Amino acid sequence: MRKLEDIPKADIFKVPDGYFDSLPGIIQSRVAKKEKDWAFTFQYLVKYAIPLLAISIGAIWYFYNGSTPSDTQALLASISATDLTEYIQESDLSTEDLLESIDYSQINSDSLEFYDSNIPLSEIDLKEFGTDLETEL
Amino acid sequence: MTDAELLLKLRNPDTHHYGFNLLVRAYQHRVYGMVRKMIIDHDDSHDVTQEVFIKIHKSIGSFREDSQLFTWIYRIATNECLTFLSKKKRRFFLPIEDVSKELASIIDNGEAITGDEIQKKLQKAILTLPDKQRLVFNMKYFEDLTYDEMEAITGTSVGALKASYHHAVKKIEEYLGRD
Repeated sequence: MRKLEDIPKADIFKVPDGYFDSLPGIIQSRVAKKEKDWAFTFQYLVKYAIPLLAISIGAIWYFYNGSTPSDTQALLASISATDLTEYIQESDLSTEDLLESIDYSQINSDSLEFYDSNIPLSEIDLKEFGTDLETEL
Repeated sequence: MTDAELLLKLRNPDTHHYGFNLLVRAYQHRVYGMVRKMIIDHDDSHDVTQEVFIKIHKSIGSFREDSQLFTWIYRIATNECLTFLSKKKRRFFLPIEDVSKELASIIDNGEAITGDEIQKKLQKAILTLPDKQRLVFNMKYFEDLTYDEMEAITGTSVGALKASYHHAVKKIEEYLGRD
């Protein structure tokens, strides 16, 4: 078996001519470029990215906290009954559409002023109830 | 120039770039030599050597002088070599043997290789060792570092380093004995 100590030590790896003359310059260039890139990145962050992030966070916070169901109800409550009636009359909602949208469980029958069982039949304008009711009577 | 004088120049903002240039010129031969013995190919070794010095430049502020400057530089160089070889295997999904064969073929056919047949066979024998053991062998056999210096570089105990080196020698001699 061949012993390691019998083999003369030698460096078999050739280096290109002038390699070590140019290597320091190559490394310095890369270091200088990294420093310049970092300075540019930092400047960009301060000038654009951070303010944009702050605005985005502010907008998200504002819109998330600003719009809630209670604000919608408060908005409706601020509209007068006259304006609401005018809107309903001018809209293309039919009587049936309106009736379908009413939650009857929320209605107190005492508040229905038009309902009066003591009104004589003769005083009721049947035309309001349509031709079908007139036929029935 | 001593290491202390070099570090003073590096830490002074006015002389920082000049000091770093001096450091590169002082250590480039040893760093490249160590890297080349591990990486084999010149172009890859050139890339790794650059990365070593760029890391040195980036980290010189945190060098605490609790070890010699050379030990610290060598530690960065060994880590970069091992990282490169590990990435090379992962990138191409190559088992260890295939990477060794690829490097061995560079020794057989590469233009940037000189030396006689026994020298080339020795290098191919070294390539059969695991990367960390190959590193230990190169540091002891070619760089002639002491076990204490190697312990400071690798963080491995002197006893473990001695065992690793002697085991490496045995494996190499077995390889050299084959036809």
